[in-house]
Amino acid sequence: MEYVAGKYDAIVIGAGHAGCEAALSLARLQKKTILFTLNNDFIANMPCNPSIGGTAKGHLVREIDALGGQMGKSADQTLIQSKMLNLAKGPAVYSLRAQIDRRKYQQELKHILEKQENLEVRQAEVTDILFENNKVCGVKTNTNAIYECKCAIICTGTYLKGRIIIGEISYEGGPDGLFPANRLSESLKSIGVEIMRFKTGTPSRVNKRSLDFSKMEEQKGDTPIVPFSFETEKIDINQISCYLTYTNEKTHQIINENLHRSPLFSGDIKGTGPRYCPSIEDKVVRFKDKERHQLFIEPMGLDTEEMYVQGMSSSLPEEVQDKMLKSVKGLENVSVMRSAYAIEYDCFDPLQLKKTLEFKNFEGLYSAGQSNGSSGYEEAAAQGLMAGINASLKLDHKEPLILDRSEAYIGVLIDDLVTKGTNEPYRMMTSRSEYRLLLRQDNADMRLTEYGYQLGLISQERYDRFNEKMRNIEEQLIRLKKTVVSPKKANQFLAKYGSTEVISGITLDALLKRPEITYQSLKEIDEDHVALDLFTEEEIEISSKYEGYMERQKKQVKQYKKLENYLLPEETDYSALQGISMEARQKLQKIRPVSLGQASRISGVSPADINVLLIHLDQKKRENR
Amino acid sequence: MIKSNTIAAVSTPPGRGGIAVIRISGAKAFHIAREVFTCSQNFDEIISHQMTYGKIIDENNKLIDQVLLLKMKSPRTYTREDIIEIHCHGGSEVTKKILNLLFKKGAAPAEPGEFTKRAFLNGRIDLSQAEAVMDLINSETSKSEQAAILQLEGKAGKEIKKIRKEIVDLLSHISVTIDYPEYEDDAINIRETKIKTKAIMKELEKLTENFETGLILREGLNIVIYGPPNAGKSTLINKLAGEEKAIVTHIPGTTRDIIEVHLNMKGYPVNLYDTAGIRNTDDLIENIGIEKTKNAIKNASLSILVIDAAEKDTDEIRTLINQASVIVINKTDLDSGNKFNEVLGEKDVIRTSLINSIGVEEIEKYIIDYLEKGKVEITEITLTNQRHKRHVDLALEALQKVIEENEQFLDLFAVDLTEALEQLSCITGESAGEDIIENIFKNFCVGK
Repeated sequence: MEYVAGKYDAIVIGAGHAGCEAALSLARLQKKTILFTLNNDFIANMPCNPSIGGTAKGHLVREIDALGGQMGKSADQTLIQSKMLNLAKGPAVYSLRAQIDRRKYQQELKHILEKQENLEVRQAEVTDILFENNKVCGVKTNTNAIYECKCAIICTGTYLKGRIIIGEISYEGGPDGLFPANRLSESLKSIGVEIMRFKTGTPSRVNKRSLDFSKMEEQKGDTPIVPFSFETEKIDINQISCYLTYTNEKTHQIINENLHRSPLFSGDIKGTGPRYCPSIEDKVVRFKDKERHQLFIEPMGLDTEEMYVQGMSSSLPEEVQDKMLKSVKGLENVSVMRSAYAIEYDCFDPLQLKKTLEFKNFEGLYSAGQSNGSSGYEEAAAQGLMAGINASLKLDHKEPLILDRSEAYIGVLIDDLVTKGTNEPYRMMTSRSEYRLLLRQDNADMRLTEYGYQLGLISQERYDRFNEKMRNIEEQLIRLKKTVVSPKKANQFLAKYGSTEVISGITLDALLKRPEITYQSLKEIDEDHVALDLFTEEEIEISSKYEGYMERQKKQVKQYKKLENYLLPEETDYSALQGISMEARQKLQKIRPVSLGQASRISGVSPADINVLLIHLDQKKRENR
Repeated sequence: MIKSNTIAAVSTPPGRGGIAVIRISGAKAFHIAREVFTCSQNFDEIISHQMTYGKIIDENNKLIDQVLLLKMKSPRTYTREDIIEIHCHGGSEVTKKILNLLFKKGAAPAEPGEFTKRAFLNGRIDLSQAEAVMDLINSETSKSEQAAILQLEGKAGKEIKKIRKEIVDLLSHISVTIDYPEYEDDAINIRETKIKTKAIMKELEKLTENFETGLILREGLNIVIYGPPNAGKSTLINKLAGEEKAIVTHIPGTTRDIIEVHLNMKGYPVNLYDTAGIRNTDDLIENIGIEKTKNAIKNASLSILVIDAAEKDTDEIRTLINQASVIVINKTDLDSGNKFNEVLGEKDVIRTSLINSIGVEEIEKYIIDYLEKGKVEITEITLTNQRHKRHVDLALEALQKVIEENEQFLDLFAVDLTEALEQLSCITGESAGEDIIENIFKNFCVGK
């Protein structure tokens, strides 16, 4: 028999990376919240690689942190190796990546959730969302309990109708041997939610004792460790190494001989897989000329011998996987602890969502993370945080928080998903951002802390420190521009750093713009030098050195904002618009863009369509006048 | 889209007309006009809606054309913005030069139907006409698309697409290097980026070189006829124009005139320029005329030197011979002119007695041959659309920056490459962003 188990402001379904951020932000914004998970012991699980960050993903973590999210802080607490990638390629693409102790991360997040005021954590499977006039009013669990609510956020990851495939074997299942959630997607489908079927996969885990690292290249972490969170002062740990090895001709031969047994090629897998996570068989088939593919062996944690074989994702039969692994240098005696598998799952076409991640047709229902067709822990966490924030703002009858493409990777991520949709799991990449010189990981706090503070997710103490940093940067930049050094003094200094001489006086700022000169080295000729913390000094350096490029991008942003600020009336009936191509009309009607800018990014909407749209809107305005 | 920039375009239909009208609309219209137009009065004092006579001068203070300029202050204008109309000589190189000058000064090429669109958006055209405006945008767009397609189906289009693809490839390579730092085998560095950029520039430059040849078919072959006084230049012009229906435009110069004659030779448009006689002189005024002649030679596709067979072999004559595409040795009925044989070397020579019509046909044939040969080149690779040319020029500017850039970080090179890609995308109508990501996964084996 059904029974009413409780009444909440908000319900979050799923406790992965999206669900954790959504639940925490709602509870921290004083909303009575309950978080459902299929298994309390797998909260914030990392069913794929045991790492957080990387290119563009590291940027997302910094942005989550600047808005008051959890991921960066918990990663700092549990990382066992850290690297700043791309140091030779430019400050805008410096990217932080850390290997994480997977089990510790889960425990850390679980405990934070448990301690959080206004938040309850409950192990149960949600099977139905309950509506009243197309507005969410509650959820029902597999135990027939009804939880009433004003809004619900779906963060179901890859669990919806999950199916595991290993060679010819396939069975219903979620990741890491957990149960799938079979009923929720059916119930959503029945009310008209559009479902897509995606596929992803993960490689084998192997026992460290069975590996011969002497045949591999050791990959050490960086010291000192740069933290993700702007709140973490210092991380002082002994770092654990990763190892690099390669596939070889023999491995490829084994794969080629067994291709017919791969469900990807036999057609058994129908879901769309991500191109950026190709399985090893995919790589071998598509890039025949490559003699070897690299494999990274990554530790799963400190208290385990289990290791992750990055680059070996596969859906070939278990015995073929075993042969493949054993053909690799250093893995000759490998002892496999978990097989690689592919997983197929239901997710929602994100074109059904508003930029707040609320469903356009179902008030109070949100979706975040892999259930929106994205991929990756960081992408999920970012969406969870934004859905949580916006659900909370809506409950408070406040304006939503929409980050645009010039403000944050989070803005790019969500705008891409809800405007362009996706036909494969969507991964964040720096190349997806038009303004990446402005969206750096070093300045995420400068871009977003203000929002976090206004929301109430950033503490006063942190905000005060942030303002002091901003002040310092501004003061120093002005001072460096004003301070002129005599040529004699400058040339002595420049000679030391192998930089070309000057004829007349030069400002400190102009000196700093030279690649050879750092803020630290300026100290030698700057009598009023102010020593600041590393983050602040880095910011001053980057702001000075790349001023020209950044000004250029700021100009482009101005152009972009003009179209973004031209809002389209919500009630516009696009299907009745004459002079616009049929395809554009259908797309506009479905996606219902909020601005002319968003409309222009929809595939199939041409510049001529936008012009006609503009004229229609103007016509409308005049009629109403 | 919503633009507050200033636009410019030729408003009269393409083709040969006596007069062409170039229209500029937008907040900076007056500012731009002030920079290129000089007349007897102060620009700001020119009365709105009244024609003013004056000159269009380029950045080097060289005269481009004498024109009538109409300054129209907003809001009493078609677009309700400030408008400048320049009524210049039609058809020839002049409109192209003026328009290019306006682009350089900050005007943007007008999109199809943009003047009318602005007229509507600024409330100049009333509601009942909205439908018509949309039709116009659509039809002009499809017209220009058709034109673009016509061009893009030609080799020029294929060439631009090919070059654009090379930039996409290069940018994807940079993207892979940045987004997949652990795949060092697939990385590209700054040196390689510059080498590839240089190669791309070379191909683009070839296209713009051909732009000039391409224009010949549409706007006529420019032939300058020069030489010492009394060698028979005017006779040659008269003979060539003789049976043809020639339009003669006099463009009076400060001192000496250059006479421009438009004629049609076997269906090809040809523009003949009869120049002042060249000789060494201390006369300042005459020197200016000679200077103009030298410029005309530089700008022409064909330069025909006419000399009197009895002329002495001097250093001056040798200089003139060096500049010529073909040398006409006239008055051979009076002197053999054999003394020039050694100097002429490999040069094309036609011996004539123009007064007796001897050799005129040979000259005609020479010109036609040149055109026919040019036509072959043109069907090979031609850029003929001025808007396309502008985008290619801007792409080249951006690529040049990539070559000159002294930065140490690969990421920054993507900025100018992206700019170049966007310029070429304006021609091909392809969107830039998606292509790069598509390309990454097609060409590189990356991902866990």
